Amino acid sequence: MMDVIFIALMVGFFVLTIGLVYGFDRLLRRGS
Amino acid sequence: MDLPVKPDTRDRVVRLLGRRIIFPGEILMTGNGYLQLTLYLVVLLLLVKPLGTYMANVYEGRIRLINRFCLPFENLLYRLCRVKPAQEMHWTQYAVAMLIFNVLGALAVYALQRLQTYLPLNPQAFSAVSPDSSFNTAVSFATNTNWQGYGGETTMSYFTQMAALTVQNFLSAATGMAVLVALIRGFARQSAETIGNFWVDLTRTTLYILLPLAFIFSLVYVGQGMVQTFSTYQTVPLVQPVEYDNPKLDAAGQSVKDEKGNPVTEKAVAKEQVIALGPAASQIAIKQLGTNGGGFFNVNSAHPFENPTPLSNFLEVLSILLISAALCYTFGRMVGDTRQGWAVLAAMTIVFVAMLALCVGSEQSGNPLLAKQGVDQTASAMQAGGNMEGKETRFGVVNSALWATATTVASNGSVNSMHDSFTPLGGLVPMWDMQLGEVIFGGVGSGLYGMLIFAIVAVFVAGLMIGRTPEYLGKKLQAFEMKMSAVALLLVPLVILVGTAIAVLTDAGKAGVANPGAHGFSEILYAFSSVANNNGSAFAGLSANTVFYNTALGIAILLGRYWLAVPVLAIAGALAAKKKIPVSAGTLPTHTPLFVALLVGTVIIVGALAFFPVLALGPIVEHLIMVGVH
Repeated sequence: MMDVIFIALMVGFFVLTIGLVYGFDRLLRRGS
Repeated sequence: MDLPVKPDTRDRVVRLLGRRIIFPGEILMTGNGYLQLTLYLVVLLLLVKPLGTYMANVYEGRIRLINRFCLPFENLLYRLCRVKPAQEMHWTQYAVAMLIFNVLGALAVYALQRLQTYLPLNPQAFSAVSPDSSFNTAVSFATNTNWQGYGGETTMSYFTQMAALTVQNFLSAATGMAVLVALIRGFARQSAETIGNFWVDLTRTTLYILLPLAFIFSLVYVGQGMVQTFSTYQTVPLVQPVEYDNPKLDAAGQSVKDEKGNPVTEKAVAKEQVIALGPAASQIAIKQLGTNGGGFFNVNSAHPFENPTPLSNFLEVLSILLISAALCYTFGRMVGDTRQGWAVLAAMTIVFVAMLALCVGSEQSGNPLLAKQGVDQTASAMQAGGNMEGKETRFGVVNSALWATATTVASNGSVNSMHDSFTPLGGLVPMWDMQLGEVIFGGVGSGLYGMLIFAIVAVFVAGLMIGRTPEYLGKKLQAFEMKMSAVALLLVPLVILVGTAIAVLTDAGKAGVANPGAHGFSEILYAFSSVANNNGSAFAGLSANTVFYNTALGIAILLGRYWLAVPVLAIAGALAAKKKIPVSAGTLPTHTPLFVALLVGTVIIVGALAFFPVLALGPIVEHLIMVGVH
């Protein structure tokens, strides 16, 4: 169970960070 | 023997500074100490240009020897991994490739620790590492942090040390350098959609920079007596049996406590000692060169098998800053103006020397409370003098303070002394070094890209003062770059301060503190400063191998690494797309002493403003208590 939690934490963080990449790119394309 | 007590004639100023009274003829630091510090700086700076030139040539594909002999192997790797080296990446593709590569690395390290019982090269038959410790170690090594909540020789099999930790030492360092190269290309290119190919940058960094250097250093270390073996640990009889107090445990394995809550101990006698061995030398070389810092043994480079001689000590501390310093010259070469690289290097060196002077001075002055008791702390032919608590007698005060400063200005984190035992001001230096954002040399790649963010802010501030649009290296700095710079600079202080606040407010956080009061607070603050800046050194005294700290520090590690690297890559993408503006009368020169001073000021002010209040609660108040100011 603990393994699942920590693996999910790692994968979840990276998915969130990939979302951040595209969020910043959207900000860049908007020119602000 | 009664030692003569020197008269306490200190005035208030002396007490505030915490210095002992200097008696006539008393030597604070030996000539040998000055010589070693000077030699270190001279050798480091002399190596900047040749190594920096070599690295620039690697990234620009201009090494004939490599092109002739190694390119076929490099191309084979690309074919195996289905990478098209000529295909360049938009900054989002570069960032996503970096993130996917890193999450796979973290998952692999996690799996290797959890499965080490079933894997080879485990002569001590270590069981699987706990899930929370595996998580902490996995993200720690994948991010170049190398915070270690575990003791290497009592936890990790040889296979885990090599296949998980050493591999990540190479790859995490290469990741940081790849992100830096992408940012440099952002400055160097114009009207470009791409910033390079992550897989190519990663491969070339590993194959042509890190592996050759690590190989050479490993051989020298083995020659110096560093262990490199797959033998099992050796048990040897002690020359003299040692009696010690052993904590008494109950049936559940918990420490038995008396009525007052103090742990109950029982006398025990040790007649033999287990000597831990392993393939250490190959890990130590990249540990230092890649600013990783994770020790093979628990006490890191204070262990005689991890740092056997004065020469190994010199080479290890030299290699902590070597690549980071040389990258400044690489930066100058790649943007077409080496003066820019020298200016950044000058700013880094100024802060480093100032921090080093404060640390060496504080430690060499010793502890005024001990001086009051008549303890001789002067440097002489017979002893190094100063505060020797927590330090290796082989290295003394100067080499310990030099290492402490170098390892914390860089995001290295290895130690050859215990920072927890430094004087309050001596301990403040490593802590503040990290809190400045690991930009004074910093981690390989990450230090310079952090410093370039500070340079962007410095140029912006200067632009505001003279009423002109800020520009750096011919690129106009606009709203997007400033927003990303703000995210990069503010995120880490936020993680450190919020993390520390949570730890001191919760029972789980306070449970790990060994010392009460200001020093205990410093231990927690140091831990969060270390992990959020991907340093990894520990102040010691904090029992961090708990579910709370493994999880909280692991999350801080992830935030501090990737939520800083992503804005940097975003800036790289934004800058690469811009046209270069020709130098005009209104351009702020960024290679002059004035700019160096501006850059140093920006780094210090941001660091001071963000952390001065919290430092006042920890090392500063501890210092004032120590010198008797109430």
